[in-house]
Order: sequence, then structure tokens, then C-alpha cells
Amino acid sequence: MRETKKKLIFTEIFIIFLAILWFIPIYYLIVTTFKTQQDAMLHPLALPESWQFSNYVNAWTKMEYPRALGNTLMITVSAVLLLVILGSLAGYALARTKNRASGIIFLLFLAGLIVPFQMNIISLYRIVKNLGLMNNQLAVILVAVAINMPQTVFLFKEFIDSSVPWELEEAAIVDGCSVPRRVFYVVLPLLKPVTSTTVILVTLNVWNEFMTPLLFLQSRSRGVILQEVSRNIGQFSTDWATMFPMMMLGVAPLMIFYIFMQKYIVAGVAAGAVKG
Amino acid sequence: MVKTKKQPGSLGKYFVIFIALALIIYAVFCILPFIYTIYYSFTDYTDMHPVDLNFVGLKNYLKVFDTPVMVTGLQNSVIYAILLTGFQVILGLPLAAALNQKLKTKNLSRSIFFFPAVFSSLIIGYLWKYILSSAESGLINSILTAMGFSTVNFFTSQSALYSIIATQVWQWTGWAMVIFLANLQGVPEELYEAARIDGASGLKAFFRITLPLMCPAVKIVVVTGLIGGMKVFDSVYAMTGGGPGNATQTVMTVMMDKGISDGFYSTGAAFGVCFFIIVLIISALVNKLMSKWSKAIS
Amino acid sequence: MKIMKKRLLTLLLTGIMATSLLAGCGGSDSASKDGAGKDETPTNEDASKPDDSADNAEEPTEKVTLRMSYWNSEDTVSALLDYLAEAVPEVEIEYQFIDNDNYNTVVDTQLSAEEGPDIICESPASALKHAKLGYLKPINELGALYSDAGTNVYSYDGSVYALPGISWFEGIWFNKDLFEENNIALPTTFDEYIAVCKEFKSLGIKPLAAGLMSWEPMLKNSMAFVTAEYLSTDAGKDFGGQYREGNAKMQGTWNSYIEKWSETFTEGIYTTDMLGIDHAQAMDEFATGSAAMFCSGPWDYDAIMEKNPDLNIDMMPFYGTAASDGWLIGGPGCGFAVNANSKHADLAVKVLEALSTVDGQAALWENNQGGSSYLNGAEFDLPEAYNSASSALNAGNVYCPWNEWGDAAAAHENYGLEFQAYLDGQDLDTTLGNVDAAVEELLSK
Repeated sequence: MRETKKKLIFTEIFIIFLAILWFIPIYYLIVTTFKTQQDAMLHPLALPESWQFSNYVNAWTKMEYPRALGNTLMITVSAVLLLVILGSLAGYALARTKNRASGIIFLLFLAGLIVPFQMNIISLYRIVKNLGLMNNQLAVILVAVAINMPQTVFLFKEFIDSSVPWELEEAAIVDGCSVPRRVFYVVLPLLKPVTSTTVILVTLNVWNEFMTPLLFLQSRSRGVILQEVSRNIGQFSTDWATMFPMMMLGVAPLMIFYIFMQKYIVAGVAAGAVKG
Repeated sequence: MVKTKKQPGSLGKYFVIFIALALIIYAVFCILPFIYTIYYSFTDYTDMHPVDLNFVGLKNYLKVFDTPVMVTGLQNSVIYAILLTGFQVILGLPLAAALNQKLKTKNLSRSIFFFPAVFSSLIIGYLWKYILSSAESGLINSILTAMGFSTVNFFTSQSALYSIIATQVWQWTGWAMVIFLANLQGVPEELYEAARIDGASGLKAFFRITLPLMCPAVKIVVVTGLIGGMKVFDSVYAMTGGGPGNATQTVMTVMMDKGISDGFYSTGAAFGVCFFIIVLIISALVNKLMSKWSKAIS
Repeated sequence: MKIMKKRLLTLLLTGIMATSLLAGCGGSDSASKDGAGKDETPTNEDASKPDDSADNAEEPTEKVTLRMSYWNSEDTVSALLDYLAEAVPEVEIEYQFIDNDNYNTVVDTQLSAEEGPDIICESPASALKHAKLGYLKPINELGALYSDAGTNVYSYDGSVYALPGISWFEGIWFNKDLFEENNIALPTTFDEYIAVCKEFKSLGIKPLAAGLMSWEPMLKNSMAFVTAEYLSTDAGKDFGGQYREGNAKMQGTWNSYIEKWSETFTEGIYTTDMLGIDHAQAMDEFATGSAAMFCSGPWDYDAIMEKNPDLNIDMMPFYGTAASDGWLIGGPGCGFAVNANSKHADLAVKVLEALSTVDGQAALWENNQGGSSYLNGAEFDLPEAYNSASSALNAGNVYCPWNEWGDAAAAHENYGLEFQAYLDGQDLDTTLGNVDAAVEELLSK
């Protein structure tokens, strides 16, 4: 028994050491944002000699942060909403209908889990252009919805198949409930876990998507945070006092999201994966 | 059980209503581009020749394998995908096993290991570019110099790809760990109790009990890791842009350079199809290997 | 059941047909690309107008925002932007910096989407490509105000498509104090240059700062040597013209020169370590005095001086093996072009008109001091910082080899990339052969 305890302590120490090592790059990112250039170069890992909050002010204005953040938020929220609404309805319909058409459509969605959409960017680019959606945030939203649809539909369908008992709906049918009422009052309340899983996975995907905004959003005024960071990195690459706060501002929203939603995010990733 | 009670078609017109919009968006932005890609790959479509496309047979496919940078891109993507996935599993599994024990700091450690996975690979790439830089200001090299070692160049033709992979291992191991942990938590405690009585603990228990039961999670991490790895773009774009020379070109950086920027659309499309075929082969292989594994266990 | 299935199928089919129709009519749209895709523009405008008007509403004066893209950072044109704000008050210029590595990708995608910047800074290669594709507005009247030497690289099929900016040139910035303190004389030939570098090395000073993460430094440095040795000679002066036609190859022709030039590798002036450093970091090394030389041009002068105002710098040219006035790599600066699909093309032309005055050129020159203007009647003195390069400038020894490559000019990037691999051990024959292959591919398009 003592043997195992010793081992446990050893493991504990080792894990703590590893975690510290793992955290260094993020720590480095955070402390550097508060340093002067010289301080950052001379004492890279020390705490700042004097805390330079003006670095942030500078980065904030240079990357037009409120605007970029607003655009990213708008795109992410719209895409997530669309995905959850459309994906859950489609997933429900596919779960409750067992015929050939339903099977084929489900397979069509499943194929999307394997086909990398990136292979199609040339034709995707042309389609977006022909639909007149170029330099329009709707393009990024719709493409994000499309490429995340397979996973969403899959998650909802599997969840409804396994965890939403048909008996409940049968009871509603006996009561003379129409389909929309049935879905809204009986099924929807039961979908909370899978919805939170989907929201988390899709939020991470859409928020961190760089290639489609790069291709489809040309005006700076419509661009997202990542474009702003990449746009500035060439200009300020040796101006650390500006660049590090910019990178920090780039990751900050998700950092905050993570710190507060940690439990759900970790659970969501695990749930999404185990089922996917 | 549940399934037998289902009445097919009971949703009536609502089946169509519920599915239509999702399917249309998916069709326009995923299926249609796929069809067009295949079509373009057999034509002579370039930026200087955007209309009156002619059918050119397999010419574009031959050109893909005749263009060194495209072959390099495919190779690098495969190396990247395999190594990244391999390390995710090799590091993630023991990490998950350790964190599944009754450690005091397990929650905090778990969130730290997962932390990097939340961020954009692009910004993580920029950050690591600073950390690995061979300029005096590069974090790792300045530490090496301070300790009296000679500096290391992380961005030569030989090392750059592996440097990128290392940063991505740092970013994504936590992701794999979380999936492994979820799987581990489904392993009943009694199995370990039984093993302990048999005198197997620690490493032995890990290999005898944990590993075999981890098959489903490993499969997920491997499949998603490989497919995701093949698509790598952001981190390479941020750290090397494909250089030095073409040493770190991947499928997607080549696709953006040649396929879009240089305007070789049809060759780019053929390249995309080759990329897809490789992904298909990899998925099939993994599926086969994994099902063999699970059979071997049971 | 059956009815439902049928209905579903019909719906699906109509859905797919509708989408392919949409894409289809779009396809015929782009077929009429030269006609600016008229059917399409309304949709675009519908989509973008509300935003624009909202933007405008915030401002009391009704300024029109024009986008201008360039691969150099905003400080390199700040005086010009200030000048334009005054000279063309009805226009507000939204400056769009795009990193050189991605410049072509981003601008090309924007243009092909008919959403490009209103004013585009073009290299001769991209100007030719964009002119061919009908993306640029011919500006012959304004072009006539400039000398032919400036406009001919921006001409296609008898029309001028971009106005040459202040000429650019790249030489070797050197730290005067480091040379004087150590009693090192300026080199006048390539061999002396190598000797100077070795001397600095023996003193423990990095001879040359180079950010080889970028493909540009070795491209320019090696081409300057080949220019001095071959391209400027009778034997080599037709090389560019022949190369453009696919009648000449680098492989076999350039080997001996590059082999000689590769002493910069064997003598440890360029090292593989530098592949991990980017341009700005290298500039830092030079500005802080830890390296004696740095290859760059006027566009970096302000940044270097800002980093270290006490630095004493001068520029010398590149040399061949024989004594000469030296050579600089350079040519007409970025060409200012007007997007043919711009909604405000007339205003963009007006901006270029303002640029085509002595005042406009002076404003442009302000942040590019050292270069010369191609506008007839605009002449500027050479600042002191270019003293040691003046003989090369006066002799007209400023040359940009790839400007002559026509459709294959974009391959100069491949050349730079291949040289990174060359430094890292790739053999010379393969290196040059790969450049030839890239050229061939571009010519075949």
C-alpha cells in the first residue's frame, strides 16, 4: 500500500513538472505583453520590470480590435446558431425516418466527415464568387455552416437515436400533437447535452478558422481577428511591445471562454469525439 | 428496441422541411465544389484561360507527380500527419492514465495540458516562431546561450518541418488526452481491483487492462488526427510559409500558392483530388488496422 | 409513402438544380470577364452598399474610401498618404499592407473576385498579368508624363497600366563606424568583399546580417553578382530576352558565376542559421551594431535610423570580380495602377493625377529617399547616406534581371526559394534546373 502511495507522489511531482513546462509558452506570451522591448529581450521569462499597459492600448488601436472582435463574434454566433437549428432538425428527421432516402442523405452527410473541404477551395472560391458573396461575411458563415454540418447532423442523429425515447413522442402523438409542437416541447428539452457539445466544438472551429476569411473577406473593415493579427505581423514583427499584445488579444476571447467554460469545453470535446 | 417501434415516414412533409435547408447549404458549399473540383481537374483551366475549358484527360494528374513541390507537399503532409498523430497517442495515453489517478492537482494539470488546444494554430504558430527564432532574441536560443550551449537552428531544410510538428504536438496532445480520459473513465474500477489482486499494478495494469480498452478512443484520435494533419495550413503559414526553399510545403500551402495564387487552377484541382485519394487510403488503412486490433483483443 | 419519396426527390433535384443554375449563370458571367461581369455587379453592390453607406454616415464630410494595397509597411508611404489627404480631399485612402510573401495571393484572389483594391501597387510581373486579364485600367495620358525607362516595364500591348514609383534599388548598407574603428577599407571587387567579411569574422563581428527566412536577400545578392559578371556583358545582355521566350536556360549558363558567388557560403557569410531569422530581425542586428553590413534599400532607412539614431550608415553597391562602379539591383518602383472594376475608378485616377506632380513625387520620395523619380521634371538630390553607391547610380548600373522575364517574371520567387535550398545543401545544377522548370511552367500557361 505504501508502495502505491509513493508511486502516486512520484507521478504527482512528475505531472506538476510537466504541466509547468507545458505552460511556459503561454506564460511567456502573457508576461511579454507587459514588457518593454528591452526588458523582453534581456529577461525573457522574468516578470516585467515595470508593467506596460500602454502596449495593449497601442495594439488595440492598431488592430482595430473592437471592429475585428465584432466581426468574429458575429460570424461565429451566426454560424453556430444556424448549425444548431438546422443540424438538430436534420438530425431529428434522419433519426426518426428510416427509409432509403433518409439513409442516402445520412450517408451523404457522413461522407463530409472524410472529404477534406480544403481540396475544393478552388471551386469553392468560384462558387462563392458566382453567388455574389465575395467580400461578404455571409460567405464565411455559410461555408462554416456547410463544413461543420456533417459533424453536427451526426452528433444530433446519434444522440436522438440513443437517448431520446420514441415512447415520449408516441404519447404526444396520442395527445394529438403536431410534429412541430412535438419537436419543440418533447424533443428539444432533451437535447441539451448534445447541443452544448455541438456549440463548443463548432465555436472552436469557426472562431479559429483562418483560411476562409483569408479567401473570402477582402476589406479590412469586414475582416476577423486572425486576419488582423496576420496582417500586422509583417509590419511589427520586431516591435515586440506591439506584436505580443496583438497575439494576446487574438487569443484572449477564447482564453476567457475557456477559463469560464472549462468543464463544459473539456466534456464537450470528449463527448463529441467519443461519439464521432 | 427503440428502433423497432419507429414508424418510417411518420414525419410526413416535415421530413423534407427539417432537412431541406441543412442539405441545400451543405450541397452548395460542399458537394457542388467537390463535383466541380473533379471536373476542373480534367480541364485546362488557369487564370489566363478561364473560359472555354477544354478536356485534357489525365494531363493535370501527370503534372502533379511531375511537379517536385507538389510531391514534396504531399510527402510533408503525410509525415506531418503521421508524426503528429503518433506523438499525440504516445504522449497523450500515459498522460491520461496518470491523470486518471487520484492526484491532488489533476484538475489543474488537465486544464493546463488542454489549454493550447483552444487557441488558433495561426497565433500559436506566430508565438512559436518567436520562441524558436535563431536571432539573439529567440527564447530557446537565448536560454541556450545563457547556459553556455551553442544555439540551435530550428528552421533549416532538415529541421523546420519537425520544429513545426513539435509545436503542434505541444498544442494538440491535451486534446487527445481529454478524449483518452473520457474513455478511461468508462473503464470500470473493478477491473483494476481484480488486477491488483492478481498482483498487476502500475505499468502492468496499464498494458494489460488500460491499453486494450482504449481501442475506441485511440481510433478516434488516430483517424481525426491523420485527416486533420493532412490538411495542415495555419501553423505552417505562420511559422515558415513553406520555406526554407520548399522544405515545409504541405498540401494546403502548395494549393494556396500554385492552385490559387499562381493561377494553375486545373492542376490545383487535380492536386486536390490526389489529396482526397490519399486521405481515403489512410482512413481505410486505419479502419482496417484498428478493427484487427479490436479483434485481437477480444 | 411513395408520394413522399417522389416529392422529396423532386425537392432535392430542384434544390440542386437551382444551385447549379446559380453557379451556372455565374459561370457564363465570368465568361464575359472582359466585360466586367455586368450581370453580377448589382448583386455585389446590393450586398456591400448598406455597409458602405453606414460607414459614410458616420462621417460628416462625404468622403469616398479608396483602398490601396502595397507590400511595404505604412511608414514607407506615410508622407504620400498625408499629401494625398490634402491634394484629393474628397478621398480617404484606406491603406492595406499585405506581406510580400502573400501579396500576390491576396491581391489576385481579390481581383478575380472583382473586389480588389481601388489602387493597386504592382510589380512589373503582376502588372503584366493583371493587364492581360483586364483587371487594370489603361492610364496612357498619365503615363505620358513619365519617362519611358519607367513606364516600359508597366506597358502591355501599347498601353501603360501603372505609373512607376520612385525607383528602388538594393545595395549593401554598412556601418561606417565599424569599418573605420577596425581600419577596414571598403571593398571594390567581389574578392575584396569576401576578404572584408572574413576580417570582420576574425574580429568576432558578424559581417552580414541577413534574414534568410525570406527568399529575397540571396536572390538580389546573387543576381547582382551575375549581373556584374554576365548579364551586363555582351555575352549576357540578351539573356533576359531569350529567357522570356523560353530560348535560354539558367542551368548550364549561370553555373560558373554562381559557383564563384557561393564563396559567400563556403566563407560562412551566409549560414544556415540565417534561415531561422526573418528580415526585420536581421535589420535589428544591423541597427544595433552587431553586424557590419545589411543588404537592403532606401525603404528600410527610416526604420534602421529609428531603431538606432546614432548609427552612421552608408550604402555600397555589389561588385563583380573585376573592378567597376559596382551594381545595384533595382528598377522602377512599385507601379501604381487603377483597378478597372473599381466603383470609383475616376477618383482613383484623380489620386494618381495628384501623384503625377512634382509635389506628389516629392511626397513619395520623402520615405524612399535615394531613389529617383521617373516623372519628367522631378529631380531629387541623393542623400548622404548613399555616398558610396553614387558611382554605381551615376553610371546607371541599376538593373533588375527578372523584370525582363515577361510572363515568367514571377519565377524570381522560385529562384529565391531554390537558393534557400541551395544554401542548405541542394546541388547547384538542381537549383538552377528547378528555376528553369518554374519558368517553363509559367510560360506554358
